Parts: sequence; structure tokens; C-alpha cells
Amino acid sequence: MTVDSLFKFHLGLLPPQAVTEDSNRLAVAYFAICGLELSGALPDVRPDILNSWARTVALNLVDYMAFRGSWSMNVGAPCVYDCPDIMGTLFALQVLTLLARRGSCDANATLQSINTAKTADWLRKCVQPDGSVAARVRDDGTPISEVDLRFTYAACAVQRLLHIDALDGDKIAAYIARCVAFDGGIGAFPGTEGHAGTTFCGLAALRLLDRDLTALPFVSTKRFLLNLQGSGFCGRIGKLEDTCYSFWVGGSLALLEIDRPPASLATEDDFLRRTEDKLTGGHSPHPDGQPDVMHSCLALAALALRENRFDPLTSLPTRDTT
Amino acid sequence: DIMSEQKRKNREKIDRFIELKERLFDSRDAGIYNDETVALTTSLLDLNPELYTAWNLRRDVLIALHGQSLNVKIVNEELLYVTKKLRAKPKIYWLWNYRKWLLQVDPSVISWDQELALVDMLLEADGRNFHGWAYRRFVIQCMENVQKTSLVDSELAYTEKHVKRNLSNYSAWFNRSQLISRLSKQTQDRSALFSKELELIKKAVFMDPFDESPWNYYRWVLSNFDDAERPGIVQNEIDELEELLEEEPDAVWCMETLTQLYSTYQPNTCATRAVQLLQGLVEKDPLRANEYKDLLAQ
Repeated sequence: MTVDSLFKFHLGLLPPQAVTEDSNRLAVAYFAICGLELSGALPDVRPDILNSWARTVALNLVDYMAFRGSWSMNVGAPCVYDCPDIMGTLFALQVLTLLARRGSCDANATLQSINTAKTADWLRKCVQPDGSVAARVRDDGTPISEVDLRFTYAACAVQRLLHIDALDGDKIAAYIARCVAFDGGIGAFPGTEGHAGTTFCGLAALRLLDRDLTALPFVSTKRFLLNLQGSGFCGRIGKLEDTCYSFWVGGSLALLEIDRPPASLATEDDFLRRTEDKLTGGHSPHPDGQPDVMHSCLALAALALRENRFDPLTSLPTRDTT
Repeated sequence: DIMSEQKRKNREKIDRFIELKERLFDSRDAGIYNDETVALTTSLLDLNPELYTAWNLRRDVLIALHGQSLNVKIVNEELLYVTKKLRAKPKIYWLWNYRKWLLQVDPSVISWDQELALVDMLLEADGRNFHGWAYRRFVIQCMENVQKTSLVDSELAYTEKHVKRNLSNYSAWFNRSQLISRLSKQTQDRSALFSKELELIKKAVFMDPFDESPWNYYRWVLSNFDDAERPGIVQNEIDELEELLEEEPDAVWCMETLTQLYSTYQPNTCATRAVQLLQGLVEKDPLRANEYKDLLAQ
């Protein structure tokens, strides 16, 4: 079994232990297919399989506008329980983009079928009065989810992938600035601890909105990020190192255009070797753990980032590799 | 054989989950809002507490059955149900969201001490659970609204308990930074407030100079003194840190902090010493060497 098998397995029937991922099927699809692209296996997948994946994703397209988070949420007609989701939309667009690049007609067709004017309207509704972004909203714009900087990133990346310009950049940038903690870390919402994942989301969103990252407070953000490395990277000060933070921190450093010294890269390589599963080739969060699609994909993405083969703005492999 | 037996069991579980989900959606489609629908959501959420649609539907059914202001009995039953789930899985957003909704239905009937006890339990189990800390701030805010008092002092005592037990608990220090910030806007004597805080964080920094967490907070505390007072305080700290460095020449965080203090507060007088420290850091902290080299170039 190789890491490709791990990725492909997750595109089929998931075991009961994964039931908590039922509302996240598109996230799983993204990690699996992005992983296959990064490991070089996607070009070898038969066109009819690529198309079947594209059609499965397309099942989640709601009103030709945006995507729900998972086909398991399909209740048969759009309603408040089955509405588009910002994360689902991002994952769907990422997957379809990758499949379209590999020649999937169904992926292309689905992308073309999206009414981007409607998507723009929906994106605007997701932005709350204080500049935060909710994952799901009612028709009148009231949120049916919490707000979180991950959704801010997703909204900006969706906008980029669809080549539309819907969002109020100033309002959103001001909100992100309020999420910067006293130590430079960026939290999920104002007043919470800085975290590598939401720091990535904040920085990427700002870059997607064409904001300048060279000024304060991002000088201390740089410090916050660099200090997260012990051998691998942690997500927060004083926490455990975890494979996935190689991506969130590595991506953040790339967005800040920071050159990492050789010692940093070598130490990280050592850590990633220790979290790699010798049998299957995938990665687990910590050494001697079970590999999973997310950590396997993000480990490959972190390494590709270092070689400029991965775009942290859209979180996709760069086009040059295709 | 074992493999096919396992597969059969898995298939059963998957089918059951799908069946429950479909029954739930059928009920919704038919507009059937009754206790059986609630029970369906319970079965589903027992299998998968992250199924947010089920949480949303549960709430809507309860409101449909009992009106917007659910009675105390229902609220308490629901709180108990969520508590059970939180004990098993304290990091699921939906559980916190649903609970927050319950608490805001009628804040005056909530046993807030019980809520605090719940957060306490979670933070005892994991002092770095930032959902827990964020939730605690929410609960405190609700309590202050209901009781019309300020709870800053008791919260300072609570966080002090946490940091004294574990100096490395950055989440507790972080929470303190917000409490102190809030107090500093209300108090007449900012100097006394921050001096006391400096004493507390200094103990942590000197007790274990190799632990990163306290140093960030230490620098933040120092930055809060008034311009008039700060030079004297900073000089005192610099003297003590230089002594510490003599005893522990490999204390990289100490070197980093000294460098920052020199370059922020004494840029003209101590350039040479700052350069020395940076050169030392390039050697002793190679993971971040480029950062130090950049600073040297300036």
C-alpha cells in the first residue's frame, strides 16, 4: 500500500470511525485529490474516474451558486438545513479546479455552470456587520454558524478561484487586524489566542485582498511563527508539534516572504521523516501515529511550498506541475 | 472470518446512520415537529455529535414545540445532554454553539455557578483548551450582565491559580492579559497594577528561563508602563536579565528578550551589546538565524 492508496481509499466508502467526518466529505475529497496531485499520481487516474469524482462534487452544487459541505446534507430541496457552506464551496472549487486541469470535462462543465453573480451576492451576505464571515447564512444574511477566521480565508479564496470581486476588502482587513493578539499571533476571532492555522488564514486572506504585510503588527507575527518551531512546528506556543503545522506555519512564512535558514529546513525534514508511516508512506500528526489524509496531504504541501510548487493563496499545487 | 465479520458490522453501522438521517429529513419535509423528531436527533447526535444539521433541527423543533422561551426544565435537560457530549469531546464547535444558545434563551434562570463549574472541569482536564477559555470569557460576561457586577478580580485569582500550577500555561497568561487590559482602563493606579503583574511574571521567567511561554507575556507587561516610568523599570529588568544570562548562558529566550529590550528602549546607548547578543543568537538558535542576521544588518 502506498500513500496513493490511502488517498484513493478516502474517496470511496469511509469506515464507521470516520462518521464524524460525514459533514466534511468535501474536505476529505480535497485532501485526497490534492494529495494525489502532489504525489504525482493524479495524471495516471483514468478520465472516467476523474469525471465520476467531479460529478459527485457537482451533486453538492446548490442553485448553481455555491456548494454544501457534504452530499450527506442533501435533504432534497434547498432550505435552511441544506444550504451552501463556505468551506464546502472552497473545497469543491479546489477539487474541481484540480480535476479540470487534468482534463475532466465534467469538472469543467460544473465550473462553467456556476452563476458567479449569484455567488458574489451570497459571499457578500456571509460577511457580517463587524467584518467577520459566517460559514452559512439565511437569505436575509443572519448567520447559521459561528464566525471564524477560517471562513474569512475561504471567502477570499473562493472569490479568487471564481475570478470575482465581491467582498469589501477594507471591512474584512480591519476585522482581521482585530484578530491579531498582543504577541503577533492571529486568532480565530478577536480576543483569542494566536494559532498557526488561523494565522495562515488571516495572512492569506489579507494577501488575497491585496493588503501589505510588511508593516506592524506583522513584524511580531513573523516572530510568533518562527518561535513555533521546536523540531517540527506547533500550532500554539507551548503545545505539541504536529505535521500539519509544517503547512500552516510554512505557508504563513511563505506569505510573509521569509527565507528560512538551512537549520530550520533540516530540522523540519527530520521531524517529517519521523511522522511518516514507513509502510504506507502517509503522515500522521505525531511520530508513531496513524496516517490520515489531511496530514498526508499537508506534509506533501509543506514540502512543495518550500520548492515554490504550491500556492498558499488558493492552497493548490501551482499550475507548473501539471 | 474476522475481516468479513468486521466489514458486516461496519456496514450495519453505516446503514443505521443513513437510515436515521433519512428518517430525520423525512420528518422535516413533512413538517413533523414532535418529541419523536427530537429523539431522532438524539440518536443521530449520539452517533455523530458533529452533525450540525441535527443540532439546528433539534433547536428548531424544540422552539416549535415550546416557543422561543423554552421552560427551565427543557433548558436544563438540554444542558445536561450537551454536558454529556462535552465530557467526551470538548473540542466540537457545535456543542459550544448549541450551549450558548441555551444559555441565552433566558439568562436569569441559568445556574451560572454550574456553568463555571463545567468550564473549570474542562480547563482542569486541559488548561490549553482555547474553546474552554473563550467560553469562560462568554460565561463571565453573561454573569456580569445578569448580576450587574464586575468579576475581574475573581477571574484574576482564577488565572493566577492556573499559572501558579503551571507557569507554562500560555492560555492562562493570555486570559490575564485581557483582564489586566480591562482593569487598566478602569483603575486610577496603572503603575501599581502593572508592577504587581511584573512581579508575578518575573517569578515564572526566572524559575524556568528555558520555557518560552512566560517571556512573551513578560515583554507585554513591560510595554505597558507609562513612558515616564518605563526607562527605570526596564533598566532594572535589563540588569537582572544580564545576571540571569551569566548563570545560564544558553538561555536563548533570555537573550532574545534582552535584544528586544535594548533595541526598543535603548537603541542609541546599547547597540554594541545588542549586536553581541544577536551574534550569540545566530549560533545558539540556528532555527531562527536569518531573523537575527536581518536584525544585525539593520
